[in-house]
Amino acid sequence: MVETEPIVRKIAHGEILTPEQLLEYPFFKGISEKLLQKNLGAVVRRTFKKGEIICREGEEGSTAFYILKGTVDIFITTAVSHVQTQPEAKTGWFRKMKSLLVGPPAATGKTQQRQRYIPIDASVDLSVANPVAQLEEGDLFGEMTCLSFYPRSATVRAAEDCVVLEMLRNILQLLQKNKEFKVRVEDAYRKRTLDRHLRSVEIFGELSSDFLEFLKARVELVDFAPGEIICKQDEDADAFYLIRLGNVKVSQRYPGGEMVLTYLSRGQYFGEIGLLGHSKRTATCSALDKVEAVKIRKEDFDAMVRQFPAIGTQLQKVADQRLETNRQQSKQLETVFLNDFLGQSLMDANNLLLIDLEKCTRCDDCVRACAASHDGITRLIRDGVRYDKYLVATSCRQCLDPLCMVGCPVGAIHRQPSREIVIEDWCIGCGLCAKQCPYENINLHEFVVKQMDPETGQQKEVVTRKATVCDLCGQHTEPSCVYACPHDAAHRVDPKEFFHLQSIDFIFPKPK
Amino acid sequence: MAALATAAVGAASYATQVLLSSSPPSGGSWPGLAYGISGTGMIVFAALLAVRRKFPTMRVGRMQVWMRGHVWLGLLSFPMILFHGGFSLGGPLTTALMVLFTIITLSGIFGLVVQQIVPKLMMEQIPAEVVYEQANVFINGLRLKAAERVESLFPKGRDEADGTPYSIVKEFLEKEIKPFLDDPKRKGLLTSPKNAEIVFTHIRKLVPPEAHGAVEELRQIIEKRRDVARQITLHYVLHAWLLIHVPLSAGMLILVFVHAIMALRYS
Repeated sequence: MVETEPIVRKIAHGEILTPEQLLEYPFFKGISEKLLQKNLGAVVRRTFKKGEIICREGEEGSTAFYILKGTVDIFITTAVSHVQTQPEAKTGWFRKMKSLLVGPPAATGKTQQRQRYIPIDASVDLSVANPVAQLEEGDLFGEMTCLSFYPRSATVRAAEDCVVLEMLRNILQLLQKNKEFKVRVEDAYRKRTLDRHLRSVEIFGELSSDFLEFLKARVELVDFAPGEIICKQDEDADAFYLIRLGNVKVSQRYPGGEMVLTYLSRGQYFGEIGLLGHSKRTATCSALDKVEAVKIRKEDFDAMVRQFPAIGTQLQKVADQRLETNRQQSKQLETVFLNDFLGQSLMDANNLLLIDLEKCTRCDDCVRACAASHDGITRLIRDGVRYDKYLVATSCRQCLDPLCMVGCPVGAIHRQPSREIVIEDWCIGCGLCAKQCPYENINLHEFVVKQMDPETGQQKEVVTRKATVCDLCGQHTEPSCVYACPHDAAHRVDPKEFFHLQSIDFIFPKPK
Repeated sequence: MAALATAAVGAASYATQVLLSSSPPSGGSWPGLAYGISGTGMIVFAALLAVRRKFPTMRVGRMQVWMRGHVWLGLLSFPMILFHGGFSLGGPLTTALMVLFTIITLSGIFGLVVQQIVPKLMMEQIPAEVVYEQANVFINGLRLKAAERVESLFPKGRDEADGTPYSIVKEFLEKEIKPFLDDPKRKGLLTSPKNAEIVFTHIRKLVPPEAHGAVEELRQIIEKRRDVARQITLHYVLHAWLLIHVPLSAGMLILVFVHAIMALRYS
């Protein structure tokens, strides 16, 4: 037999397992030895002593871990706290603004603790109040890092001496296609995580244990490849989906284009609108990366709503809110011509800082005011695209297609019903959203805080990072940049509304 | 409107006093003092704009309101001070004060006019403004881009490039483009936009069509540099008056203080 040379890169640490050794594990059964030989070095066995760190939150990575023996603690070390800009002194006119980490539980305002669980890249979610959980033999973690190269969502430490398999993407994909492995992981998920996952969704909090058992037995665990359409606009609605892994893009068709309504990630759900009286899908949902979801079929969903009317009412509320948001967006679109607007990327924007170039004396008072409000770090640069006599200054545009939301390893960045982008208090400062923002409008703010070192258990000063976006100076009635403009040149506006009021025909000429 | 009304009231009251007493009220008289105090108050308020701008996060009224106050009260203070002095210059200190005050007021009016005109000019004449503080970085970028584009024409597989489009464009880069990028105001073939168009048309004729893309990019680089030069000039026009207005205002405030002390001490 001709020995096949390995063709993939190897993992630097750990004991390389031969195909024969791998095939001894039941979940590798059925995978061709030749394929495993080709991937020699892409999966290693590693042993960790109690207290040793396996991976850290925010780190780059490309591997997933499967626990063979022992238990691990999975947790977030970055303080669950809110970045708040406030005056240094409580009184006085000459007070300086300073950004601080506040809470919890005092964190209030825009990032109120609506969620009780932080979604992470593992089979468990972490409680916001105490973000620590345990994983045990048979659990898999780091899937999204491995498949989509998202930063690690949590720190993992060996709770006792343990053995894990660390694998690269090609091995994980082989395993995911392997029936034995799939059944094993899904069984573990159904047994230990599904009820917690369902309960982590606020509206399912009221489900009785009996009904949960009923659901657990009936739900289907489904997965979708990147780009695959999960449900299509105008098709009959046949199921409700709860995302357990990956990101889903929700979009609607419009004459001349497609508009992204939102991105959903682990712990979020979709498909309820079609099931609650509409019968047809109102939007297309597609997998942005590898997506695994819990599928509740229509008949089970109907039974749940009949048996627990409160859940039906809550779902209806969410559905109404989503429909209203969609309706508002489509109404705005009717007034403009999509291609014209897309041409300047302004379609993306929901809220812009516009500078009237006929009035602006280029004094940069707006930039200085922004910096003065945020510890000397401006969230605004007086530069950007031009639209008529306006400069669209670089500041969070609260895009209609918010790419920054894609892939947050802990689901900390999302949009409120008001369409404002907010970053939740459990942000781990990995910087992915900052990298993905096409307009470089997300900054990473550094704070020196005292926190426990997961290795030594001692308190020490560390630099923790939190992503921040333009918060419209939420503590004031008007953003500092606008307030500080001496020439009435800076305006915070909803572009569609603002330009429509100006002269829609002039700015968006109708096609001949 | 309020400022104009105040000016009208001040002027009417001054005229009444002149008519009634057949001579203007002196600076030390009660009406004169009233004009002086109100005029000084307006000047002080106008000067406070500089303090307000140092604390942009202070929520003590929108900056725009402060700016309007600065402009209108600054203008209104001028007739008030004239009424205070009875339209005479007085001694050396008050003469110096009035000269300074006149220059400051005129420079302020000039600034106001410039601010109404230049931003519009900048918007119309410079399609893509650069961040002013980063203009040098941008110009360096243009230099690099021009050199890279010319080097891209170097014939592949040859050691020498004599007589090739590369050598023609390279010579043009060294003799005209680089000096223009360093100083667009120097006399050269590219100084005037009209000449530059003629020169680029000529260069296009000298090189084969494959090199036209590079020549066009060089032309665009020249135009961008011209825009930056224009922006810098307009930026200077927009802000240079402040070099007179601000330091003279500070100096005048000191003299106003000295004048008040002396007037109180020796009156």
